[in-house]
Amino acid sequence: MARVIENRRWHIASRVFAVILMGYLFANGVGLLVSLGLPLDRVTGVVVGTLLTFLIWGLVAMWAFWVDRTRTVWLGLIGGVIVSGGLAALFYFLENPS
Amino acid sequence: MYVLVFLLLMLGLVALCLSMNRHHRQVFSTSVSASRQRLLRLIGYPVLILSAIVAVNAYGVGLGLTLYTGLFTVAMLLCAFTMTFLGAKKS
Amino acid sequence: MNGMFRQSMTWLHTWTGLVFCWLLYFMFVTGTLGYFDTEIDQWMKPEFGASAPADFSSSLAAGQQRLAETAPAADNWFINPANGREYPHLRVFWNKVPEGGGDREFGDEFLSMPHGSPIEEVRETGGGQVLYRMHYLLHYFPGQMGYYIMAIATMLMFIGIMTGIVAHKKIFADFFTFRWAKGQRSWLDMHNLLAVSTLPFQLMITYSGLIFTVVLWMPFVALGTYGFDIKALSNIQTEIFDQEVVERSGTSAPLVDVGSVAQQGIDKWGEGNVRGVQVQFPNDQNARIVLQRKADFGPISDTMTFDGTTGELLSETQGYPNAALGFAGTLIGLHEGLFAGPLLRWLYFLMGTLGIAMIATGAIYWCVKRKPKTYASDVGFGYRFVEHLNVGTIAGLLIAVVVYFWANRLLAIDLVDRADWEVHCMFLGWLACFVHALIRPLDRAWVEQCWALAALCFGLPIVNFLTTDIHLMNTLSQGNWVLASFDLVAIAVGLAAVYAGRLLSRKLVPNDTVGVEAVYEESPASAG
Repeated sequence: MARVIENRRWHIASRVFAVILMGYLFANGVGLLVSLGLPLDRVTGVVVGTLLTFLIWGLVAMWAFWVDRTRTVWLGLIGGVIVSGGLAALFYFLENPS
Repeated sequence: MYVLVFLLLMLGLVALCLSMNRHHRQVFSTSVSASRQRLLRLIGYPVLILSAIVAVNAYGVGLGLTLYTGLFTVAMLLCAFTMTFLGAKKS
Repeated sequence: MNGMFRQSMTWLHTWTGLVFCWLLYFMFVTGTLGYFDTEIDQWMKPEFGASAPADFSSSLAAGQQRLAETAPAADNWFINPANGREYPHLRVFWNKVPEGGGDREFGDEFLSMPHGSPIEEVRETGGGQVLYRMHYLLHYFPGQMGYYIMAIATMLMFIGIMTGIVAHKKIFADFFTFRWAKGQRSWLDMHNLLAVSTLPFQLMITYSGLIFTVVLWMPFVALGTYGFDIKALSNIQTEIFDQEVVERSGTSAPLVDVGSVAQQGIDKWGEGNVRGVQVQFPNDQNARIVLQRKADFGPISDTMTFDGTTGELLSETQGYPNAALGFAGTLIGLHEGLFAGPLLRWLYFLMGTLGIAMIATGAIYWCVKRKPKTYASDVGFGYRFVEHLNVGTIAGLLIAVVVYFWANRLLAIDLVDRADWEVHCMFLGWLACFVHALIRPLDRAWVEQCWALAALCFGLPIVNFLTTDIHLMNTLSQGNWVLASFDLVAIAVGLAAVYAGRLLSRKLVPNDTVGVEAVYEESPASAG
């Protein structure tokens, strides 16, 4: 990261944007997955999942500025959002078949 | 009781501090020998744990550990600044 | 790869830190003062009188009578008898959602015992509460905006702590290390030492700070789990505590004597362990009286719920209903530190002060590290801007806070919107410091602001002496340490400012090379 990012404002801006937008969605996706996927009662799940979101978001920020290529950041986060969100939705419909 | 907790913390931290070569030199002007280092560590860690036990025993888990953490900070800073002061006097 | 990782984490730590350090500094200064919010209230309301303990059940009766007169149709009454620090006097509070909807109406009063008459505010002031509220709301921002800004700053602080931990080269080898008078090495040592020694506090205060903001900007886990059904989610509290949902019946019925109901709480929890009483829908058929136990940690404590018309015990809750909520609640409780006695409260204050110093040393280190080797070299606008902003924030904010206290003593008692003007004075003072920092040469700006801070701090007890009778001579002879400590802390801060000023003014002597330190072996990556 340090090697690539020197004097490359657009890469920095792009990563900041990725962390803010996709990182937020990813953190919430994983939080939801934890809340719905783990065998916890509803309230406990919500609390545990929500508390984890901040930790995950922070770790995403660290990861995003460590990875060599900005493209990896975006692709990784978009993939993460789709996978975590999809799995969370799956769990939701398994529990609430309608 | 918090005075005892603090004194134990000081004792433990000073022992651990002196077991480090850099700080041993600041106080005694010599490197720390391997046997003395082992001894100091053998004092330091158990005493730190002991002071935590004293705190929890006297104030309960929640309050005891909160107080312990706060006093740890004070003891650690006191220890560090004393070393700076002693080191400066030496040189 | 390990080195690369540390380099990029240092980079992230440096820049998130730099962008937000002034805001975080403000947050830490006002938040740290918040640990003594009611003590500052006392100092700023000298006519208010010292906390007076009064009989618990007669306090409740007086509170009930007062609320029955002023707000018989309220949705909620809260009666908190005087308990020393948290409620220095009997406090009554009511709120009500207006018929047509909209913002809640509320009323908030302190009553003096034994007559239960409201205590008049002689000196309109924001007190310590305004300072304390600034640490999460800022000031002058409409609606929730300040709250959002501070929530973002908290997240950045959290990232700053995590990156700081992994970027630190040798946490254990440098555990006790502070090298004096070694230029930028000293600044980094100090920053590291303060950070490592207060790490548990910093982690706790930041993570729990984030928990406060959960409802604001992390609602999606909760929403999603409930299938984005907001109505189901709004009942989450009753689900958590397994409570019945009470609604106003519309039929009026007389309320029982709150004091006699509270006696059951005293019997169960012991004398002095009932924190307060809430009455839902007073004077309604469905009125409920809720007793709240004094909490150890956190906002959730044992409760007992009674029928308001018969006084019959309906239900009880005990502590946290599950471990996860217990964890979150304990963290919030640790953040607020309401449980802390004098020793622990001073430790909290010290931790906050060390946090302030940590942020300040970090901000200064950024500049010292980038200081040009020769005075001739061109350093650019950004660097200069940061340098001068540091002065205006680090010294300037402290000056502004002291100006706030001066304003409390010097503004005319009958000034319209007096409490607002106190705050205006504070921010005008801060603005003046920024202007001063920008127009003066850097070293001069530091020294002059240190002297200004010292003068204001030393002046504060004198002004206090001239305008009130809670000055040091009285408070010390009466053994009133709460009020005496305020003046003593002011003097201590003044002494610290004098020390800093003397240290800095040595740099003004020509031929001194302090400013042209040799460059130590640092990773070049963080140079940005």
